[in-house]
Amino acid sequence: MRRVHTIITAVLAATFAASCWQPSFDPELSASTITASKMLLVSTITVTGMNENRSAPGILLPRRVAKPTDGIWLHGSSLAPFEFESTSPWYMKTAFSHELFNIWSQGFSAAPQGGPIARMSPAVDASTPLEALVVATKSPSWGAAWLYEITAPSHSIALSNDSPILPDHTTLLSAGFATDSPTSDSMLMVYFDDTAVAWKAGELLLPLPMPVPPPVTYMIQPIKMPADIATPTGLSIGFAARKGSSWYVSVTQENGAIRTFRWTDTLSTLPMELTAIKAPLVAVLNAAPGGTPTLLSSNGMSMTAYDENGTELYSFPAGSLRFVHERWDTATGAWMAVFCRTIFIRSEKNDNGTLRAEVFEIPVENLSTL
Amino acid sequence: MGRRSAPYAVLLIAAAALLVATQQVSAKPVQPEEGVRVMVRATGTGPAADADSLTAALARSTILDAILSAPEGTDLVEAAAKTRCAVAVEITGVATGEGQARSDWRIIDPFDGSIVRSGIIEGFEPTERDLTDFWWLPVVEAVEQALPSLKKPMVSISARPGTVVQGLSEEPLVIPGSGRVELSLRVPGTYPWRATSTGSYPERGVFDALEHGAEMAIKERPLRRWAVELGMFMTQYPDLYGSWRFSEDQFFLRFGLSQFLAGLYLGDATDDSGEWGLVSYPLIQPGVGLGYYVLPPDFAVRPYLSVLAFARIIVSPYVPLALDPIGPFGTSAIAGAEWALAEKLAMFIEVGASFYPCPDGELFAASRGSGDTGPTVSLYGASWFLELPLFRFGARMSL
Repeated sequence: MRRVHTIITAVLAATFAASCWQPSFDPELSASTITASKMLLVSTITVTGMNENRSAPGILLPRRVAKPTDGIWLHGSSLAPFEFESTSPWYMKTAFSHELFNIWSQGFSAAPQGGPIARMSPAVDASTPLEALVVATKSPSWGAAWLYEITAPSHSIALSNDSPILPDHTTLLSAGFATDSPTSDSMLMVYFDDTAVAWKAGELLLPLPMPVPPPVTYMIQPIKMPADIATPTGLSIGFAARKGSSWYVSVTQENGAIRTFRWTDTLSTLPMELTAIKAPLVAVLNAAPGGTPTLLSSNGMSMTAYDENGTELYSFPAGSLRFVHERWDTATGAWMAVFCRTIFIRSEKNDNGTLRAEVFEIPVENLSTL
Repeated sequence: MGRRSAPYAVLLIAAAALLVATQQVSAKPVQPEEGVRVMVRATGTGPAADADSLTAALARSTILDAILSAPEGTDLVEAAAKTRCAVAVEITGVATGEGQARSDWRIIDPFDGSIVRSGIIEGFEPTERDLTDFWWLPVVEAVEQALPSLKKPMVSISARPGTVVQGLSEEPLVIPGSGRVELSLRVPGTYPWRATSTGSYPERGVFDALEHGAEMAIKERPLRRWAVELGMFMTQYPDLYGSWRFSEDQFFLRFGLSQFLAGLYLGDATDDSGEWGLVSYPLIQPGVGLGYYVLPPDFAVRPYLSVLAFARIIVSPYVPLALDPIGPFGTSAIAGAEWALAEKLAMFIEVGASFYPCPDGELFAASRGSGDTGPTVSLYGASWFLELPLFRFGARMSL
């Protein structure tokens, strides 16, 4: 009997000691690997000796060229689920960039939930200073803000507050980017003006590349929202973009419902709700030849494509793959959808490790093959 | 002791407890060999009835192991039988006058009381030196000669033909085709035995041979080839395996399913913000393996070694059913011990390590996450990943 007690005690002790284990399996990473294997890996940026606190969570905005070797690392340092409430931008490049993370960086507040809404400008070549436009949700960069690379005396990322700034008493509903043409993007911000008691749409037309601060064209016009969204009701920031003569707004309501609306030709009429779309939009892509613009939504594990009317086209696993931008490839004369995946490989010895960012791309017209 | 060291100590304690249990269970009482005993009774008067010198003379015989004196007031034959003496010697000595003396001796078989030998020693009344030197030599010689002709108690053993029984004879006893064998054993006596028979479980026990004609039947329990086991991997994730045993229950093939769809996560008790409760990963691992029991099935605790190969399959609604591209396959090396609770039920614990060949070791390492990974450590290279120690326990039922 004594032997039985000894064994039972040992097994129970082992039970409680071992019960905090988790398998070496990350479903998001595995899902992304399935899809990434069908895309072209165009670049891998590896930074060793990185502190874990600077490596996650974060997203990379790679240089918008065919073979990016650097980019802007946006790192969130707040607590979940508002990790990017405080966001710091750093210049990132293989080999020496971990030292650059010691440089002071002016931060900004990104989207309160999820990742930052940001878009890298098309670069002329690999030596053009990087520039990106981000959505900031608090003063002094309330609205759109420019991030730009300062190459001397060392690489760093500065923040410009000269971009269009939203009125003080404003509630931002949705914001985002779309590619207008090979040389221009558009940015759309939908917000509620507390002073005017009205929903408004602020649109930036960005001929790219451009100097900083850019000579943007900024237009504000009223936008007619559905009756049940007459005023802000605690909605979180979602995606918004204009493609051609259509505007798209994706919102996440307090009860968790995802709703997507489309305005055609004018913002002064009620939108059509695209009810088939069940996950937040992350992109509105250029039309494949003979097709319509493709709406891309993501639920965190998979992405689903829809046509401009919200009809579901296809889905593919996404996991930790993040859509970053579209790029016009002059060599093939095709729009390329660019995705990025970042992983941190922690050292067994300390909290440092290797930060690895991979950039994949695929022609937009081939997305359905994923 | 660091936070990560404590679990190793626990595992070592568990292993040590098993080892102790193994030793305790396998230790069996051993009956000492009693040797050839002789019981002596001398009656009469004078040196010719001197029991001490007779005892000393018999003790000098190299084939006799012990000389006992019959207690007064008892029947010599009965006393010799009870004390498992091979032979009884009765002496009646008298002084016949004129310096002469005579010793009448009888050698009796305690088995049935028959007189095996008898004789008379006559001569001058022996001195102490005579008693020591030669007086009793005829008796000693007669005892030695009588031993082989003594009747021996017979017992019978019945078992399945071909059964090999150890412990009842110097050489292993093989049960003939008749299924019954008789052999001579000293009775009464207790004999630990172990029997093995192809296709059956080994049997063991203690044969209490109390009298001539005692019988023992060794039962036969056919080996159960199939077993099913319910385990808890890392004490968190339930799994189900079956096994088929072969080669006299020495080897086994194991096949089944580990799953991470539902498990327990008790978290870090030292971290107030640690998550705990149920945890789920969309991963299953069907596997097949080969194992070897170090000890035969009649041992209460059976250590074993095993290797297992498994596939990692994603079962997520967001991903087509497919092998995990980061680590599609893995292998495990396992050392375990099975502890019998009942005839068909046993508990088991296992400790092992898992090795994963993979396209990208760094990617696999990243899959492990940066959170607390419990009591395990990992190593990885460009195309492999190793994790240890892994722990599993559960119940195994043979069918």
